[in-house]
Amino acid sequence: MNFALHETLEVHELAAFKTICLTTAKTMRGLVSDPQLKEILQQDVEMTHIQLQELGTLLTKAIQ
Amino acid sequence: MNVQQDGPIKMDALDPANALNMPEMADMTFAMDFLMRAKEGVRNIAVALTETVSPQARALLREQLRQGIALHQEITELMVRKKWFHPYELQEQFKLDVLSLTNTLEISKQKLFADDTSRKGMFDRTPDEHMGGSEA
Repeated sequence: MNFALHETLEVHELAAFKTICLTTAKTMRGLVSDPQLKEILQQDVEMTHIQLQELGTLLTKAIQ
Repeated sequence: MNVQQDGPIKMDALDPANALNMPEMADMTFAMDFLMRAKEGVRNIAVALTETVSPQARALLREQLRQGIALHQEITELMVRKKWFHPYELQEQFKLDVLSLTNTLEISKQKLFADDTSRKGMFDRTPDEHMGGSEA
């Protein structure tokens, strides 16, 4: 699969942003006391984990 | 590092009276941070999507954009339900903003950490010693 350079860079930027988000969500989850907010944060951690893996797969393909 | 506590202490970090409502106020701040990140995420993905042509990348980003919008909605609904966010009552939102502003200012005036938080000297060697990390 061929990827244009600019789209590779866009995905790279998204991956960097998502990495920060995942770290923050994971850390904040431990500090929050409201159970519902905790639940959404946990969902976000799991979803971002999958999304980051997807972005990683795409990036690996693009770099090859 | 030497941080001076300026002015008379109005709010003492060790006074239990100041811990009143603190967990909820902290949750409100965390939720606001979360909401802003969700919002930023939606924007970032939307911008990236308009720069993308490959069908595979577009499909992936479109799905992530949908998930991002759903997450943003979920956080917004929680915050409205908890009365942490008042999109329709501007006066209420204004009061809340002033409250968190005042509290944040009070917290920023406090000396939260000990003078020296450096961990230097706690270990007999550093992991990057072999490559001259301490010289960097």
